[in-house]
Amino acid sequence: MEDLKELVSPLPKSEVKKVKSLFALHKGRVVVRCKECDQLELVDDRAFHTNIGHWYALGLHPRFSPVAALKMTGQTRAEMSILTGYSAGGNNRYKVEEMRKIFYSALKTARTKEEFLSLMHPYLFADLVSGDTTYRLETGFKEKYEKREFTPDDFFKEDSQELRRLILRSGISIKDVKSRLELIDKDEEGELYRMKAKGNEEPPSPRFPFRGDREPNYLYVVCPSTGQEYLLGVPQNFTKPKDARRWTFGLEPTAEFVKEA
Amino acid sequence: MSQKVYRQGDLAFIPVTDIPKDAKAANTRVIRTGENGGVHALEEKSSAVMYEMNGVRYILSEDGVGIVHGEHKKVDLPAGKYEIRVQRELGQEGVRDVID
Repeated sequence: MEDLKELVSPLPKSEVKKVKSLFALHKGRVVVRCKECDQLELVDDRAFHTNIGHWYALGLHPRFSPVAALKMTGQTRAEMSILTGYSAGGNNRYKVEEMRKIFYSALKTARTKEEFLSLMHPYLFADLVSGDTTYRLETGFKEKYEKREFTPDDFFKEDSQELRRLILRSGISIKDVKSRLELIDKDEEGELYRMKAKGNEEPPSPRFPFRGDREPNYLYVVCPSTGQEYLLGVPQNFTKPKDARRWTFGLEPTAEFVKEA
Repeated sequence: MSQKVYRQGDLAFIPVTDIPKDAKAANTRVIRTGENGGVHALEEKSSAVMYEMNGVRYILSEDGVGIVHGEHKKVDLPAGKYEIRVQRELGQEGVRDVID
């Protein structure tokens, strides 16, 4: 919240006396300079630091409460932390800086909370029911799932193996996905692939502000007890699936799996 | 001699000579819960004890222990000491545990 601190202090010397007087009268509030209105404004301390302070950070006078707007859509506290760029979420999944940019861009563009929610719509968390499981994930993902609009690129943009399985249930197959890959080698333990070069075309970039930008090679393996297929990212230096598979568990190259399920 | 490893889904159980002295009893049977509720756990009837140090878990089993999971078949570990290792992969940002 460095940006917000800058807005609160230091204040011009000429204003200090006035500010001290205001503080005495209004405990639990802060005096903030609103750049848009070019004036000092008295704001609830808590609301400033957790909610409407974002407007002041953007140099704007608050138009609505972004937190109240997000709450209207059923976002939890943890989800709001992700959406406002404070938290990377479980597994450190989201890029905080990128999410903050998206959030601030929506605030700057929107004149009403409805417009704000419309701009944030693809990123808002929603329930997706598949089989016996309810997933909590971004609306953009849910809509693609329901419309069966996923492409193999979406598969590679997704970090979570569980969500990759959802993508495979929604219109594309592991064969479609593997068509984007080039086989390096296969053995009794799996298949090792690299992403096919596509001329000057950019590799798929993350669909949501995920962390990172490097494309790994992929190890294709099938779970012996569930039959579930996996594509796991592995370093590009491996040439044998067996070696890459041992790397995924940090094992010696000679390690032997005596029992697997 | 090569490492002999047991595996259930995204977990490997690697026999070790010793469990670190400072490891503390974890007081739970749950080894790992996936993002969507799949649980790897020590079989209920077993007397095996799980230990933890610096985020790494270990199993001490004097009579052998079954590792159970809702989707994967049971894996029986012979009596001994094991380090539990979570499968990792290379994501676009670097190495991370498999998110399953």
